[in-house]
Amino acid sequence: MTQAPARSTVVANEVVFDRVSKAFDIPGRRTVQAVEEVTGTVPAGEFVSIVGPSGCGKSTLLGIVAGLDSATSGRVSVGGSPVTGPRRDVGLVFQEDSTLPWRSALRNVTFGMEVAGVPRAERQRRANEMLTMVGLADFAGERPARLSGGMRQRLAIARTLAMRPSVLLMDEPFGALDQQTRLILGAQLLRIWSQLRLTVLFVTHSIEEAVLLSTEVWVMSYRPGQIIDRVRIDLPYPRDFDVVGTDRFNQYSNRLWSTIRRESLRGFSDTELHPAGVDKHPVVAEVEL
Amino acid sequence: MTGPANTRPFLLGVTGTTGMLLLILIVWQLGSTLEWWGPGLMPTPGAVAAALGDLLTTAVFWSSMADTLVAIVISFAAGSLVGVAGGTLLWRLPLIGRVLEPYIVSFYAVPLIVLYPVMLVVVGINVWSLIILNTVVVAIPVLLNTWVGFQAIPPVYHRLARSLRCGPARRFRQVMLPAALPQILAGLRIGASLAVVGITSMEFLLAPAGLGFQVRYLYEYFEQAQMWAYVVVIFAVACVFMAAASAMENAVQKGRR
Repeated sequence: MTQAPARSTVVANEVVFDRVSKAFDIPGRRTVQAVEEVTGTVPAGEFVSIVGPSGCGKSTLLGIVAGLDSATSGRVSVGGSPVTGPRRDVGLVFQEDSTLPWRSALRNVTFGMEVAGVPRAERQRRANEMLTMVGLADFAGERPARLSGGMRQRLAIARTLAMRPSVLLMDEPFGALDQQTRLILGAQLLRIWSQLRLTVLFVTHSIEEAVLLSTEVWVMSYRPGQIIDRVRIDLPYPRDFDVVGTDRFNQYSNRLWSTIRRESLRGFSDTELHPAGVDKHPVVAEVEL
Repeated sequence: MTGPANTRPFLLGVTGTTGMLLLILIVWQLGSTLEWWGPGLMPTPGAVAAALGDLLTTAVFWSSMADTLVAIVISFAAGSLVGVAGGTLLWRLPLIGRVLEPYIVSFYAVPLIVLYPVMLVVVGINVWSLIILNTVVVAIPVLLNTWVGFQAIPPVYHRLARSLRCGPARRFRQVMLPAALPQILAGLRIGASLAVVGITSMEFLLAPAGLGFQVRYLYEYFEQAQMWAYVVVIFAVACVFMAAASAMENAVQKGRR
């Protein structure tokens, strides 16, 4: 082998949605159309966020890209090849804490690489590199129980990035954290993204987070989940969280919020006031929204 | 980490536990000498200690001890194995699990000693009938805890294993088993206590040998001091077993802190 570069570069891949639909059959209830006819492209190296009311199917859509769920119809391609199952060039970060409490921080990061058969020395090298990148270099020997929720999420991100994915999927990765922590981690994620230049598809219910991070924000409707708005965020990079609250930031936020608000209310009246399978009850009409 | 900050509560705990033991001995001595109860019920600690000292030199004591320990260890080991394997199997085969669950749970409430006559027919009057029954006694809580431990694994671990494309062997050994381990160990701790209770009580009721049998034998012959000496020994055996089980649990917990 010739002199290798410090990091072998990974080519970012585009993600293409081609009329992707997903329906769930809930026994004893109606069929729920979670995702309907989603078509669109996340260009290679872009940071696209999907926002929408809870229950709109945005996590389902991400699960389909990750190969964990299958689409009822339509298909997703990553880098030109259709997704048929989980693949190693597509990394996934979960909302829930997915760190393994019986392993040290370092060995949490090496876990994915062990599964992928990366040689030991290379694992160690990449794990240390990733721990440094997410700011956990000093905690390599600690168990997750000694780390805060935000640190554990960074650990999960490091584990995923160490696999060198060309596409990074993030399912509300900071959803369980407090507002300050999630903005700070968001800014850190932006720095990592600008270093690695991979494609990021980011699911969140926070409009603020989406505007702060993304090159483009897709708004998903309440069931059946469709992409009803795509907003290009023309704020210059490198961005930091001081962009939050500026006029243009607020303009983007307001536009997104007005769409999502309508969808959220539609979703709210559907799930909270008309439980699935129950006929509409007259009392509903008295509730003002 | 063991610093002064951690050593101190530990020492306090040890002192407290030892002090408690002393207090029990003092009340025991007082009650005996002041005749709160008669010597026929419970002799003085001194008399019991003397009887114990004598016992330690007898072959009967050591063979009883050996019988009991062997029975406990074998039934605990076999019960643990059956329990962990069975719990794992029921987790992997949920349909069978649902069918069997009511039976397994009700086994918990049945004193298995009622099956002793069956055992007599099957294996005859020997220590194996005890060991086989006690294996089932140990296996049930281990099985239930193992089963629950696997079922309670957070769904995100399953999705993590799938998204990393873990093979089945690695998924089980490196994700599922360690994730369920704390609950399995809790089952083993219950199993350890039931192993001691089961063997000694079945010896007391049925067997022709062992520490439990000696208690009953001496009780029937009004040898109170010796009987209490055996009771103390059974307490000690139980303490050692439970301490070992707790140490195992703590070691695993410590590896996660």
